[in-house]
Amino acid sequence: MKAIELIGVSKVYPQATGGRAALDDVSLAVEQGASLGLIGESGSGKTTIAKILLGLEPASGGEVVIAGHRIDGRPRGRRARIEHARRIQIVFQDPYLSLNPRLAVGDAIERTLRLHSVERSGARRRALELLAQVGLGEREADALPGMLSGGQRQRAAIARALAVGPRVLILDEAVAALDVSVQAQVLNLFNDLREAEGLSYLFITHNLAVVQYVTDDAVVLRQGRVVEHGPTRELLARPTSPYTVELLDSIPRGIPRRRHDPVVAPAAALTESTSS
Amino acid sequence: MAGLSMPSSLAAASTGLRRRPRRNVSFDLSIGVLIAFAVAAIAAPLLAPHDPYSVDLGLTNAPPGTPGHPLGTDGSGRDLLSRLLFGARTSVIGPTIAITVSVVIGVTMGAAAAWCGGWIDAVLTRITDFLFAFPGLLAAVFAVALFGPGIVAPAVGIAIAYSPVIARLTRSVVLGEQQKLYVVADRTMGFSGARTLVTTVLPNIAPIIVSQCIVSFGYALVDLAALSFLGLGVQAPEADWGLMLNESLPSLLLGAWWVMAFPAACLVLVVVAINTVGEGLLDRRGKKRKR
Repeated sequence: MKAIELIGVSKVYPQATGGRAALDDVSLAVEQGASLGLIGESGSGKTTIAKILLGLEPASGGEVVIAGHRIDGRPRGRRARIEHARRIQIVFQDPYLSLNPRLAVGDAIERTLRLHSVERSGARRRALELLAQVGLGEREADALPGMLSGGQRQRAAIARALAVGPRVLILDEAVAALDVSVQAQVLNLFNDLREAEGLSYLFITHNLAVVQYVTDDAVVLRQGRVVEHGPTRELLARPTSPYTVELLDSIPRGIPRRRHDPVVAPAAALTESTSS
Repeated sequence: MAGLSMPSSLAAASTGLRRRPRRNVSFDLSIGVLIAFAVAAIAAPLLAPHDPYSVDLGLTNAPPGTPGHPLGTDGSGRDLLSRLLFGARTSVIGPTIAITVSVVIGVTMGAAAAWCGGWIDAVLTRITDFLFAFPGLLAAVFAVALFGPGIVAPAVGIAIAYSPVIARLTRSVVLGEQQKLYVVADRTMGFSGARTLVTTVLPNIAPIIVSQCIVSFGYALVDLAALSFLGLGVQAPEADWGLMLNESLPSLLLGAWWVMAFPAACLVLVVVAINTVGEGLLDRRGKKRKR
C-alpha cells in the first residue's frame, strides 16, 4: 500500500480567471517510508496538491488516496476529521505564522494530544517528550512562540505535527524561512525522524539542494503538470525535461550532489542556492 | 546528532524567557482606581456622610471644605460626596450592561457571519446594516417607550444600537484571522470549526474587540448621561454622574465650578482607568500558570 497516491488529479479553482487548471492530470505516488520531493516554482501547483491531500480543497477530478483511504475535500464529522489528521500532517513554511501566538508551544501540543485522546495527566509528559525529540526543553515548552527563534519555532511546529501521530508528513518549504545554519539542523532532524518514526515525506520546495539531501525521488511540476519524475539523484544528474535543465541551470555551480554529505556541506550548498 | 542538543550558550541566552512582565505603575494605579470606585459603588450607603437626596436650601453651592460637606454641595444643597458615591453605581452599571449585551450580540453575529459565510453571512450582514441605520439614542428611546425609564431599558437599547459596530468589526477580523496559518493548522490537526473559532480565533481577536469596547464604553456613558438629561434614563432625584453634570449648569453660572468639576473628574478618572487597564491587559498576553 502506498502512503500517498494521486491518480490523474486535476483542480480548477472556480474563481480562477480564464479557467486555467491549477492541476492538470497529475499522478504521483509516495511509497511507505519514502520521501518524495515536489519541485516547482510558485504557481506550479505544489501548494494545491498539499491542500487537496490535507482535505482543505476537493480535487476537481481524479483520485487521491492516502494510506488506502480516498480523500475528497474536508472530512465530515468528528471521527473522519481525527482519522484523516492521523494519516497526514503538514509543517508549514513560516513558523512565525503557523503557531498560535497566544499559546505556549507546550500548551499547543498538549491541546492537540488531548484532541487525539491522550489523557490530561499524560499529555504534559508526552508533550515534553515530543519537544525533547525535536531538541527543545521544558523552558521552550512554557514559552510563547514570540519568545523563540525561527528554528525553535519550526521544531515546535514539527513536534505539534508529530503529536497527532501521522503516517505522512507534508513539508511545505519547511526550511525556506530559516537561517542557513539552522536549515541544515532541521533537515538532519527530518532525516532522523523519518528513520525513528517510519514517516513518509512529501517535501515541497523550490530548493534543489534541499531536495537532494532529504528525498529519494522527485517530481518536477510546471503549471500544474508533471514534467519529470524519477529518483532524485538521476533526475538532478541527468535531467531529461528542458524545464528541469532550466531549473538546474538557475542554481550556482559547486553544489555537492550526494545525499549523505556531512552537515556542513548542505549548509554551504543551501547558502548558494538560497542566495540565487 | 549535531543539531539536536542545545548548546549551553544558547540555553543561557534564552533564560530571559520566563522573565515576568515589567511592573506597570499606571496599570496598577488604574486597577486601584477601579477597585476604589467599585468599593465606593458597593459601599456607598456606608461611606456617604449624608443622604444623597436630602435637600438643604439654606446651604446651596457650598464650596469644598465646608464643615460636614468635604466636597461641598450642589444647587439644591445636596452633599456632593454622597451623590458621587451613589452616582458611581448608576453611572458605571448602565454602560457595563450596554457593552456586555452588545458584545454578546455583536461577536455572535460577526463571528457567525464570517465563519459560516454564504447565505448566513448575507442575512447577518443585512441585519447589521439595518441596525446601523438606528441611532443609539433613538433605539434607547424606543426601549424606554416599551419598558419605561430606568437603567436597564436604555442600556439594552444602547446595546442593540452599538452591536452592529462590534458585529462588523468582529466579522472583518475573523475573516482576516481565518487566513492565518495557525487557524488552518487547527483544522488540519482535526479540530472542529466551532472549536477552532472559540479556542483559537476568538482569543486572538479579543484584544481588538476589547479596544472597541473601551471606546464604546465611553460613548455609552455619554449617551446614557444624555438620556438621563432628557428624563428617559436615570430619574431626576437619583444620583448619577451624567445627571449631576447636567444639573450643575445653573451652579456653574453662579461660579460654583466644583458642582460640575467633581462628577466630571469621576467620569474622566473611570474612563482613563478602564483604558489603561484594557491596554495593560493586552500587553500581558497571558503567560498563564504551569503546573
